[in-house]
Amino acid sequence: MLSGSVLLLLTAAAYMVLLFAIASFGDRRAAAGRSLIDSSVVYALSLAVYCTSWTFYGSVGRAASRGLDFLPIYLGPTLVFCLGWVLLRRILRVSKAHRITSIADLLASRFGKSGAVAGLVTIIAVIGSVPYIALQLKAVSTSLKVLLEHQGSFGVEAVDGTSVLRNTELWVAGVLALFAILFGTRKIDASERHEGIVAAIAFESIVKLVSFVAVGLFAGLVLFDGFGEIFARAAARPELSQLFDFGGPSAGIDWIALTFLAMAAIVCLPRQFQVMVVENVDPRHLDRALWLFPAYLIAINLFVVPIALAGLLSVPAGTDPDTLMLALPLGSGYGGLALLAFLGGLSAAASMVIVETVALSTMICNDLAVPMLLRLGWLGPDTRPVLLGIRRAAIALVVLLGFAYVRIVRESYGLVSIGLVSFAAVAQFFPAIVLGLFWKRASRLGVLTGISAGFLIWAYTLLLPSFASAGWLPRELFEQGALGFSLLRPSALFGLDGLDPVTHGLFWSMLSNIAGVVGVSLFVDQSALERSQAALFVDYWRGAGHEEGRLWRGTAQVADLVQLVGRFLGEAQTREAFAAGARGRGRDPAALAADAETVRLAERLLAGAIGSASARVMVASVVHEEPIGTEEVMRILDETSQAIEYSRRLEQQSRTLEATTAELRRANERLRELDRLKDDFVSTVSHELRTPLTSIRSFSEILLDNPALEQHQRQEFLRIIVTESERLTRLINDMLDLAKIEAGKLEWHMERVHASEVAREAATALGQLFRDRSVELKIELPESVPATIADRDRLFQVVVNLLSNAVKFSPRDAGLVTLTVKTDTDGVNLSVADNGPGIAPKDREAIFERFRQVGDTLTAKPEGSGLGLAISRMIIEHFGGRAWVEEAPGGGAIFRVWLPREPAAASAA
Amino acid sequence: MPREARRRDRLVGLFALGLVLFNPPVLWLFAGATLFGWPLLFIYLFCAWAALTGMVALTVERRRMRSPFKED
Repeated sequence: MLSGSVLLLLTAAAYMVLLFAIASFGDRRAAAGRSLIDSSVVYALSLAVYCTSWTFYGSVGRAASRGLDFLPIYLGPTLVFCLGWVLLRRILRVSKAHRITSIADLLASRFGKSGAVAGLVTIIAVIGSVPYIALQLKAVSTSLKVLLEHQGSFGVEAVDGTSVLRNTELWVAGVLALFAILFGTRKIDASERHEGIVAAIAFESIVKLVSFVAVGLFAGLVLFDGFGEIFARAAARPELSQLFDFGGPSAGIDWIALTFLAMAAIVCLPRQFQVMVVENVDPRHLDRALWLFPAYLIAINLFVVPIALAGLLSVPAGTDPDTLMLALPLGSGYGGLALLAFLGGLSAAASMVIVETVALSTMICNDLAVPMLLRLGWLGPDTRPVLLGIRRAAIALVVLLGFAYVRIVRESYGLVSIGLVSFAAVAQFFPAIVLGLFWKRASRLGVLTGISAGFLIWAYTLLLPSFASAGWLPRELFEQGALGFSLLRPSALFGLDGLDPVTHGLFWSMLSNIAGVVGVSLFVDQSALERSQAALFVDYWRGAGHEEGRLWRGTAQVADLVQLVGRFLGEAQTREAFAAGARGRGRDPAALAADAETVRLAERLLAGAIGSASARVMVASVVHEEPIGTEEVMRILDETSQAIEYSRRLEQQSRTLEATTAELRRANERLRELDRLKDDFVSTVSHELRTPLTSIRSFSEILLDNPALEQHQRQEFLRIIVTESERLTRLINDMLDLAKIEAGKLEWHMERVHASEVAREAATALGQLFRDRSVELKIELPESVPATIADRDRLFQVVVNLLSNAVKFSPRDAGLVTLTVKTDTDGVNLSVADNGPGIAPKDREAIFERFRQVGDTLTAKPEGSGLGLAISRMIIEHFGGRAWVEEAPGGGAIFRVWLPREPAAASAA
Repeated sequence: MPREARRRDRLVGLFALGLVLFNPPVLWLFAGATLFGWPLLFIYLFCAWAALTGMVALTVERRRMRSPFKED
């Protein structure tokens, strides 16, 4: 029968094989150009490498003893991701542009490609990360131990597990190191992606989440009767219910400190930088990750508190709270679930160790080993095997250090405490990153001072106490302070007592760090290279990158550059990269000159492999560079920023100019249109005036020339002359009206008017006309309508005009004109309907224009000036109403006028 | 680009909101109390967290959606 330990080891081994398979599949897909990880979801999942076994086991443990205190570790990153477009995107874009390979490289490049900064950051990162790696190894072995103690849960024979356990940590360390070496050191260009690793990490993030949620649901739904019951039973126990009290001000300070610590960690942790920046396929993936990653954090943290409470309620007292994730299912005999939880924890630990060691190996190789080799002159013609060997050795070394740490420190610190101490170490980079990206004057010396000071304080207040508790250092140091000065006690430096050790250490280290960066930067001048790099990083958004070439001057040979870069990247790949660079600038690759651009290209290519600081040293070895003084760099940068400012202003002005031009063009078109209308108007008016004048003149001449005309004929001619004169008079009156209205010179006698009265008067006045033409006039007027404010005579004029139009177009003898007045909610409707030919829809607006008469004016000369409707509409609009025409139900036209009701105040008066 | 800048400013605003919501003294308001037997602080923190994340999602993903704010 299968023994429990064998089953466990087989499961773990099978899972690791699966990871290897996924990683190798990811690499093959990348090689085939069909990236597995080119998606924002995979990107967000890979960011979840943030959740290590420290999250998986440690959060539950911390929740069991301190309540919600674990949450700031995840709220901090959520806050930083709100700043994604301000901070993270800037880091991402700048790093891509400069082929940054690690957090050490980023800081080194920003502060004058400084080897000192890179080395310092690397050393701190390694010191800070080793305990954290140790923590992962320890978590795996602890979880194995717990499972082996409960072998019975798996329905298999129980054997003594100690022989298996003895070397678990070493085995785990070995397998993870192998994984990192296999998939993390394939290519020399460290700025290239490790797609296999990212695919495996993303998969592990899913396993983590699924197993955590499974245990959470199990706790709430199987072990207890719903989550409400867990909380209810916890509330009944005072020691549990107090977990949800938020302590006094000091707990508040701890909470804020933890939030800040987590904010710094999500940016500064080497593994976060690796997945967020180096492994990023497309900067646009960041957008969706801004909420997907926080959503992942919410999901994985949702069940922490219920699991912790359920554990405290159901697991026997004395169980290590950090193992509750396993103890909970094991305690009730659910071995399979415990196995799933174990795989979740294994995933969490493995992903952290793999990514962290790859990131650290790049830093150790590029920022410690290469500068040393350069100084010693030990780099051969083909450096690639050397560099890859160094990286592999670095991975093994880091894992080994972690293993050694576990062995030495053992049980002295809880999981979460180790994690926080690590966080506080890498948080020392945070001021340098933020200030470096937003403040041009932050200088190399300032950053060296700040980071060193912060690191020393960190070591004194946080690292040494952990050594002391392991028994390496005398306890007196902590009880009495260094050299017996109680003011120097590591847990209460300068007498600052009563804070949590992490809060205390973070406060003093950050204070000295920020003070160092800012203070020294303010008082020490930057070198020329620092200035130019600062401008490139801070003004990246304003396109300062284009000016990089101007900041270098010297002489070089292309052959030297190609040979140099070829030593690191390989001959063929280098030639290809140079040719691509030449084509990108529109030059012939064969005749490439060794100008500033080419030297920059060589340096950038090298930077991707060995980091910016070493790349600069290497390039300087084959290039004769003429130093550019600080003054000159400042001048160039000033010119650049001025040019950028000018071009920005120019752009703004040209936009304003365009807008003005468009406006002018529109005004001009309008003017032309008016001009054309005026011409039309004048010619129409002359035509309209000439017609009656011509007939008056001809008939007058006939009368003058023929005194012997018969009486009835003379009468007839005189009648025509009178009619035509009347028409002329009407025309001129209308034109005068129109001109007066348009010029605003017409005198209006506004008063309260009842539309129905005016309508009745108009109908009476035109009664004879209707009778003459045998057109029936139907009047539908209500008893009373609301008063409107209008000029009575003008309104009368409008109604008469409408009625006479209607009678004109109604068929003789069978005509029917209906005059209606109706009240609606806010005004009065007056309409005149006829049963004439109606008005085509296209003409319904046109007839309100001047001299627009519908129908063929050549064959049938309509009566009237052609101005009536235009004047009517103007009058109505002056009263605040509207005039329009519709099709009448019977087929004719219906002219409608709407007038607003008089304002309430006026009617009351 | 101005629209992008406006959304960036909104994200910064959400950051400031998160700072206030996730830290004392606001947290003190919810400490120790319960809601239907559940610890109020627990419920509040996760609700605020989810709401903030949701608002970030709305702001970032709005490219294809109609703006819930008027001036876009």
